[in-house]
Amino acid sequence: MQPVTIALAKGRPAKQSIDLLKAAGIHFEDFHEKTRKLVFFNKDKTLRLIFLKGMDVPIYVEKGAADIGIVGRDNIIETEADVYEILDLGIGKCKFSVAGKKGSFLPDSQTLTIGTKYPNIAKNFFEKRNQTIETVKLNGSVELAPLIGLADYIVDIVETGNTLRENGLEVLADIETISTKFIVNKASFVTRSNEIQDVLKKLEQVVGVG
Amino acid sequence: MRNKQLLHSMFYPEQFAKKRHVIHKLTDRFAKFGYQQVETPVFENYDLYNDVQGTVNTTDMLKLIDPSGEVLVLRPDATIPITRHYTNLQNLETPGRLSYVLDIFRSTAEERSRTQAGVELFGERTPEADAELIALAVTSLNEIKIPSFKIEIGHATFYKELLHEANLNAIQQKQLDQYIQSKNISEIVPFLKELNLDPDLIKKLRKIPMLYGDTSMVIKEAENIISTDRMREELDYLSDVYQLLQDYHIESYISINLGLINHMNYYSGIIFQGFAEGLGQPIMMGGRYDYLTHTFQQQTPAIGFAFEVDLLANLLYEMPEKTEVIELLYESAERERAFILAEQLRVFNKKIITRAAGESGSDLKAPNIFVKSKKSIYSNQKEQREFKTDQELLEWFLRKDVEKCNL
Repeated sequence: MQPVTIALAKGRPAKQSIDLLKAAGIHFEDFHEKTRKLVFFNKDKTLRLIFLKGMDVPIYVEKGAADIGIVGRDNIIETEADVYEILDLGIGKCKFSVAGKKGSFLPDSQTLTIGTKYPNIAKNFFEKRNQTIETVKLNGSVELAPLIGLADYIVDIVETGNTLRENGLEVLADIETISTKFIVNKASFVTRSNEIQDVLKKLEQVVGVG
Repeated sequence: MRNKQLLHSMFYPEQFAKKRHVIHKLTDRFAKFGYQQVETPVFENYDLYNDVQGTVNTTDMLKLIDPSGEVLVLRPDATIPITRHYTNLQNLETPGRLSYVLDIFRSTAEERSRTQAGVELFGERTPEADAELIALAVTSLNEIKIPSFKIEIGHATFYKELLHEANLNAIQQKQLDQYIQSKNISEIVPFLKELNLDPDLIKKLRKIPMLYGDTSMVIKEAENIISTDRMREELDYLSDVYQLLQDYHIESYISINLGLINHMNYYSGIIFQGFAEGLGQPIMMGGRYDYLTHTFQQQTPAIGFAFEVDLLANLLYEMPEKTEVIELLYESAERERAFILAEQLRVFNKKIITRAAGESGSDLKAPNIFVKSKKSIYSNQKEQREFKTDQELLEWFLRKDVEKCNL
């Protein structure tokens, strides 16, 4: 029997997810924070944990390369992955916002240039306001874009707002709140339902059902 | 531009052999259930699809314009043209059982085209008909030896019955569908509250995504949210289908999911999807579409499904049986004899390539038959055999086949 594969976003959010799995009684013994390994197994090899870039987690799960994913909803919306978003894990809470230079405002009757790691989310938000935008897809240091003049505004994840403040920016509009989700591949959900329900039930007991 | 890239994996003979095997097994299975195979035109009138609302997204269709300025589309679906064809028949045969293996074209798919094999059953709206189709799907997948798969059964209108009084607009409806089909419970409740729906209705709607798994449990749970006679009828119908599936002895392949939503809007009753282990996308989709015939001024209930042939072919790890190709070489003086021998071997289902032998014997590729004057030599990697007459050689081949069959 193949192990059930759980995909996790590597980096900072991984720690919280691993703690949550631990609390649910799911242990990956050889995992420690400084490891460079990307694949881990639990003791009886029924579960396999893999570490991916956040944006890749929904893709792996949608295609069935991973059965389960633990990932921020930002990545799910941006990739528009067709998966079951079955449980809100209540961790990694933050929000999507539009930000611009301090003291500026968000005009609603002109085409705006938006710098963002999340062009789909930006497009959907402004579409609802009936506003046309151009997006510039960036991969990091998004806060720089309005300062250097690459874009008028940015769409990004805001946790505390510190990074924005330190770069002379502020939130102009909130798009939506996001948190970490437990997602499942639609085929695995039926073909491996016992194994997946087992993991799901354990996590539900820790986070409570919403 | 993706020029010259080999996008289509069926370019490789081994790959295509698997696909042909799948098609052969499926059409054979469909025929054994009394379905007759048909073909629909590659080019369809754009209006045919434009008139049937909510089926294929018009932007997903590959369009072209003929010299008279008429807009055509490359067949984006098989069910609609087959339904139109069936309703046009002068002497409607009821029930009508039709099957097809056709390429379907969409601009959204990476390959632009994919092969579907499916059936349509017209003129019957009974749990027996629904169970027959599901049984056909399950036995077909067993026939092609798909190792581990499940059929998920849902209902196209059961949950929508709840929404009659809610008066959602199209955007709200789409958003709710999205939450339900992704089982996104944490966001459903705040969304419904914002719509100011009746708290009792919200309570019922949030249960829908969780109505999956063990059939008798799901049906019992679903009893609690029934609010109209129609829902009662549909649930009883579903339960009847399940009992039939038990008599087919295929209930272990079945899983119920009342939160299942299919984007083809024409579905009106039971809907189902097939999943194979290790593959993210459905390998089969289908359902009941009792009102599609109304578009063509008929009132004939119908149900159908389609397999994704390319996905099924990729699931087969090795070819079930591969017969070797034998090279038949001949000395130029023996050419006529060689051609006759080649044809006789083909009668025994051997695969033969004929070729004039070169000067040296070094161009021999095993397995081969070398036709020389007054004798012929058969050799493969393991053995070499000489025959005085061609008759002897043919008899030896025949004996070898019989032995293989007896093993």
